[in-house]
Amino acid sequence: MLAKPKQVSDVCLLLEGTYPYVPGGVSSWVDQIVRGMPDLTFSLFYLGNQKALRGTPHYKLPENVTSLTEVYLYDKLSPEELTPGNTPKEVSRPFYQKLHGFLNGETDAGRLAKFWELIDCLDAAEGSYTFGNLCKDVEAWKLQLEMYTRLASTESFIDFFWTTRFLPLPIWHLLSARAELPAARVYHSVTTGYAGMIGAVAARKFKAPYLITEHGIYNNERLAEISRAGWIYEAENTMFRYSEGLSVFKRLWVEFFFFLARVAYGSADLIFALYQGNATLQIGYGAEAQKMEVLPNGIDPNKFDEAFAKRAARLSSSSKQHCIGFVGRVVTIKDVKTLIRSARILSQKVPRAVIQIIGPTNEDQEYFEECQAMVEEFGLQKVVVFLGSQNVLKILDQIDVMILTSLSEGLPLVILEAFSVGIPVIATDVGACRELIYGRTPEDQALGPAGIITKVSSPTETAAALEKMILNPLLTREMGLAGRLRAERYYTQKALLARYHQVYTDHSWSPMHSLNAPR
Amino acid sequence: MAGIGFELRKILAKPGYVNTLRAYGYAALISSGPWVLSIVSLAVLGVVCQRMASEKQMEQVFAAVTYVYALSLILTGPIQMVLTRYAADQQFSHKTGKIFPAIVTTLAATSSLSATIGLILFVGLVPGSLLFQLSSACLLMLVSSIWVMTTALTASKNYHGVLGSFVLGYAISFLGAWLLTLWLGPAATMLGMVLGHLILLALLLRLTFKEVGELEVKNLEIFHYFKKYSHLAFCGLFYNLGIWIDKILFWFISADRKQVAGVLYVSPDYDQVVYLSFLTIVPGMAVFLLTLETGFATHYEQFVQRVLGKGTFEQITEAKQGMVSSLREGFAQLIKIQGALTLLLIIFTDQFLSFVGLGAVQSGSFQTTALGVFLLVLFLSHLTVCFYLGKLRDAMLCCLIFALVNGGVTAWSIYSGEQWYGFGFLVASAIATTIVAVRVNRHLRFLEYDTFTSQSIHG
Repeated sequence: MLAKPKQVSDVCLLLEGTYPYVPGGVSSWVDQIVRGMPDLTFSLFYLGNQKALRGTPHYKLPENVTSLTEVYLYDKLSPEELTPGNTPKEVSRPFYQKLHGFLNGETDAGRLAKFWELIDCLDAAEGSYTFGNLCKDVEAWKLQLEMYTRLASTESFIDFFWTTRFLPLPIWHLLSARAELPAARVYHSVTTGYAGMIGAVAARKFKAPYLITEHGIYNNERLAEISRAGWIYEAENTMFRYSEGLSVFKRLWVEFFFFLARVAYGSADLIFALYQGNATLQIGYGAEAQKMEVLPNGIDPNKFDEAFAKRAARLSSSSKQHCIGFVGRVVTIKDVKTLIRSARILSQKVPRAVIQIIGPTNEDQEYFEECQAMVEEFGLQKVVVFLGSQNVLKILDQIDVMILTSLSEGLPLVILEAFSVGIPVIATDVGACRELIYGRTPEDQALGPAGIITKVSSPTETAAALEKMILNPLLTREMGLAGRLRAERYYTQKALLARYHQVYTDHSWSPMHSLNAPR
Repeated sequence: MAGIGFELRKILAKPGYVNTLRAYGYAALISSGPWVLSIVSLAVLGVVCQRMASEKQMEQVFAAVTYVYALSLILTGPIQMVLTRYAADQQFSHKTGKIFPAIVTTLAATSSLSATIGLILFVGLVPGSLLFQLSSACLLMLVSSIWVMTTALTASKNYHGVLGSFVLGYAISFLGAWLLTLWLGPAATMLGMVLGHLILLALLLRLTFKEVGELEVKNLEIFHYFKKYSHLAFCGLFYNLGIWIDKILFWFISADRKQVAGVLYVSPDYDQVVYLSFLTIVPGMAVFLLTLETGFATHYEQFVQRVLGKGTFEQITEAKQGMVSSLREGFAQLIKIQGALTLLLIIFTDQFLSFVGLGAVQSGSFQTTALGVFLLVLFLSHLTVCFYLGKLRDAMLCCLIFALVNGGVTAWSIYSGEQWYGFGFLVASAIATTIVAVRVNRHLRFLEYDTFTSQSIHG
């Protein structure tokens, strides 16, 4: 299988909707890791939505990337895959028995065991079992009916039918790509979800160690997305209950993603969290505590020295501070709308303030258009400006205060970048923002606050914080310096790279270490 | 990924909407309509032209008209089925403007094809006066066109107009036949028929045109439908072939056959009996049509509504049960009425035959074919359900079996003696009915499964 050891990369990164196609915090992090370790080779396994929507790579792949495999989870299946295969009875019978066991599993451990047995069944089927079988086999239909009776017997059947038919589609795409999984010495998923699942499958296939780094908590993000989703059917009379606030169909989706995380957590040998808060959440979602390690993001502060100096010079010549920067994609999760609402309040008190929104606007065109409409409605065209994607390094020195209104964050790189340039940050109380701005350990806290933490979705609090900063240049400067100091001391790229390099090259942390893994 | 799954609802709604299917019902039923019409008109023609010409001359007209009906029905069987489907589809997707051009295009194709066949047959292979030859060929072209038009008019709401056209057309046919025979002699009988049918076709065309109001006359899309719905086309061909094959065999291989002129043969003993039996199809079809309209279609509509309208599985199954029980009731009703009629005919065969002027010799084959017609009604009804359920391949195979068995057993019966006459038709109807009933049963049992799993995940 691995006759040519040259093809075995040191690390296989499993990337879902991120590097190298989609820009963002996780992508920068991946770029940092790959470029930071030129002595190691990386193979990339990219999961996208549909090939047609892929776009052009946002990053140029460095030379130590040996391969890029792409799988699209919602692409159309080929007619062959949709035609039922001639599965031998001795393969299909145990397959459906196990699928029955999986769907009716009482415990996660039981379902997990069945999941792996199902994978083995598919291996044994050698391609004779297709998605067409899953769609057309009477056994599959019976399982679907059984599940319906158990979970949703009073719900719309057609919605149940399509929900349960679509849930396995991405999994099918992924499992079909098993053969294309690159051989590597260690597998590293940068999320749970689909990438986590296929990472677990890959590590098992190649008997290699497996680790996960989660920036945001995938399960939480899906939960938020699904509960808001209008495309998932809910009967109009669905009563909102706190215990089970989601409709059956939304619950199916949520539980599906939660299970994928179980697969990944269960197989991982080591799980990295960006900060303690995330680690706690991951444990809540089924990660074992002894596998957890907190490792914050890091940055190279020296890269920002020039911007820092330029900004300092600008501030010393003029004390007028009014440029507020928002760096991030214009998408729901960044809650740009709260920022626009706070801009309305702020502009009445500090008319000279300008909010620059820097980041791609094309990811969620509808949301962007809604934001633009809001700006127009409030008459804020001169206050809120959308600049689109920019080279952050070049414009940071123009920014006086950085703002983040996200509904959810991991450890935002953009805060560390702002700190490095000496910009204070106002951020919502999500992810690692609190410990970044106020400090984590007592000695860290002693450096002083590097900004202000605000409540999520609170335009008034956000506006008040902005006003306070803009009207107090001295405070702003102090906070900015505290941030720079904090970044230099606790959030360096050097520490980050050192730890991952160690994990990538010395596999003694993995039980797989003792096995006959390709090296 | 948002919303992919729920786009598919539209696709599920697309292919089989109830009105589309209802058209199928009519199509199947209509195939018995022309039949009845043909036989009745032959009988009337006989009465009208009695004693005006020699028996020999009348026989030739009769045989020619019979050939015209047989050929036109076999020829237009596939065309009727496909055109019905096309019209229903266009109606469903609100593109009714495409229907009239498609009809005209189909008519053009049908008439050129049938005219060619008519010329070869009647001018080339049947000796007679040129007037007779040409008007026979012309009649084949007109009758074929009329069958096509009838199909196109199933969707018409103007029942009175259609009925009126037929009454007028046929009245002129018989009147013309009578007058022209009086004036020009028996060679012109055919011309009278041609005249009447020409007027009927013109009336039907005008009726359709009035309803659609389109001036466009070309739509080649219809020809793609023959490929797309080849099962349907073959269904129409095999069914009509199956209906005629026993008669054709009697004309060409039976010992009792009689050459009328050239390739025109008759087999009077069998022909008369079987045409008579066929008239008994009327009550059974009427009963079943009523069942389809009042019970089955409504329940099917409910079934579709519940599938698409977010019903629970229980509600969907309940609607299916409604379909099943309405079918059961319909069949029970049909068996009762058609059964009683058939039973009466069998018991009083001799009296009935002597009443219509046939001999007691033919009573055996009359009883056999009457029973065959009883089964044929059941076959046709099940076939209609097959169309409703979208099982075109099954329908086609059943029709093929029907034709093959009828041909095979009839050929055997011809060689085996008079007591077996009619058995081809009886056995074919019995076998085809059994098979189609088993298939329909199975499809109904798996209806929910079929409805859902036949939809592609990618639309």
